[in-house]
Amino acid sequence: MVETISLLGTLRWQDLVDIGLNSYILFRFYVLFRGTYVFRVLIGLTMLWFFQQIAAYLGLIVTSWVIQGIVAVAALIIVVVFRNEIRNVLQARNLKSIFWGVPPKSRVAPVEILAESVFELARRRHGALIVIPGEEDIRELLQGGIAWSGEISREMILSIFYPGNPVHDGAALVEGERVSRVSAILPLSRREDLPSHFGTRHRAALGLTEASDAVVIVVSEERGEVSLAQGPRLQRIPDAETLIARLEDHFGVSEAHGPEARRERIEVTTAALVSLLFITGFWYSISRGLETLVSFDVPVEYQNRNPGLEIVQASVNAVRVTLSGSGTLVKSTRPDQVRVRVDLSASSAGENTIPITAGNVSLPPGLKVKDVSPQSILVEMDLTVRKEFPVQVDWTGRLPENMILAEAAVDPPRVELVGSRRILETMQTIYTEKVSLERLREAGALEAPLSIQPASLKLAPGAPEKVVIRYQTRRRE
Amino acid sequence: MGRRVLGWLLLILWAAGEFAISASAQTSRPATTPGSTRLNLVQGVVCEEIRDGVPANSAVAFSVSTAKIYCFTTFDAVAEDTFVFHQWFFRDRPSSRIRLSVKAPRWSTFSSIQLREADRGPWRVEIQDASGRVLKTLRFSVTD
Repeated sequence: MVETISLLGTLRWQDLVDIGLNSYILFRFYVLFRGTYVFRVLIGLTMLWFFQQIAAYLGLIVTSWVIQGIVAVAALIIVVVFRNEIRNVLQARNLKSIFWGVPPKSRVAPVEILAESVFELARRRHGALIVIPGEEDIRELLQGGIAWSGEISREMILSIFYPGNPVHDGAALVEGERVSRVSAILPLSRREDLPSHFGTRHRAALGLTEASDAVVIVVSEERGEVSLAQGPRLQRIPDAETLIARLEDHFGVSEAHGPEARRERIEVTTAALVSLLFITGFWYSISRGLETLVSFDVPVEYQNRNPGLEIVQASVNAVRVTLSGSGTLVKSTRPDQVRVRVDLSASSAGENTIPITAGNVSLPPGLKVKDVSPQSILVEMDLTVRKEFPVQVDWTGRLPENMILAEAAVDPPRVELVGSRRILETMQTIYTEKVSLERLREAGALEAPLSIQPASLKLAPGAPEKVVIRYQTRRRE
Repeated sequence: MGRRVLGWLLLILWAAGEFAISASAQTSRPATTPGSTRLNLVQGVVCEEIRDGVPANSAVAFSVSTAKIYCFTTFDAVAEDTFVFHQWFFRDRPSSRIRLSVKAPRWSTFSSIQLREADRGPWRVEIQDASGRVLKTLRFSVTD
């Protein structure tokens, strides 16, 4: 208990945001994919991952390795195999509903597509009869028809009921997300009280709905009207939204009320809590798991150096930083994520002893500095001055035996450098990079870059990076 | 009266002559101190050999197989006996400093170094007078 309270005391606001954000993302995944096959497969994958962790903990090397492989492959398969389901979930909802709100469970049939197709048929005055079964088995009530196994789409429905299509004259049966049968014959209603303008299509619709809990959508060829038969009633539907609402009502996925609503609320609340608990546990296992130590040799970066001062030398170029944190975080930390920065703004010419503390070390979140070695560095700084030096060619290689290099003049003969006073005081000459004698002809000119050592020295502004060497060879006497 | 004037005149002329001689002696005195006058270096070269007192194959790059190289210098209008230094440097590090006599009125002298495998790189020789003043710097390389 005390440990838990002390652990809570160490939480930063970033940690709370971290947990909250990821819990919400997980919860949204649940909300968007619940009721779909994708969700079940995801649950299965999570279980596999959980077993893999247990297998790894118990030291079952092959088992852990195999499960890890399955999980890795399955993650790919899920995206490929369920791409349509994922697309449907994401396409069917607007951006707001992806991030906010709790939409009803995934629909048994794509009612939006049905409604849109039906009103398009009405606009074209193509007659149609679409049967959507309820809980009861209606196979006994349907006669004939042609087996059809087509995923519902606007184009397919329009083509089924296209007047030139041999199967357009009859009912299409929608089961789940598919049209399973077309050109089916429905029993006709024997009622005498039906309006005179109702044709065979309307009578057939009512014939089926009177005998079962199915609903039938009727599109009138003559008037271009859409009606919905349900039970003994046949109602005209004015627009697609009304049809969607009625169909959702039929499938039991519309706004739930009463005990169903309470059950829905409990389910969503439980999912939210499970998401929170799962992510909290996951977060703790990553950030506060078994403490592990790791050491890196990190190069020291100097900042805010006075431009008039030059670093002549430092006692060390890198410091050893020992970090602590959970095994997962430590394992995922790369050396380049750890940086040691030293502020030189307060340093002066001469030797400066600068302490290195945890404050000088920048780390990925969740890790702590356990130790830094050495705990101080000695940085020797000197004034930056300018000085001019003669340039000398550093010849290399060999001329033919009978030739000698009689003369060589360098242009410009002197070059100015900027750098530490102490270094420049000890220097007497700037040499060129090595120039090969093999390149020479009888006489001529060539360019050679300057070799400026050490690297802390710079050419003064305006000084050339290369010099021109004019030379003359001669035959050996 | 005329004899007295003549006497004073002779005295003044003698005093003036003495002063002039004294002034001349004072101005020429520094020339007698070694190194105080700039030596007139008429030739300074680095060469492969010296034949009959003359440098041969003077150059700015020498193969290490040459084995021995020379710094040959000639001074003209030397007022009095003095000495110079040939200071050899390898990559700005002093290698050897050789004291050489210079005699009036004209004098040639040389120093040499033995080349070893490790001597490849840029060299220079500073020709310095007795007071260490650099009269000339000769730059060359020892190569393969």
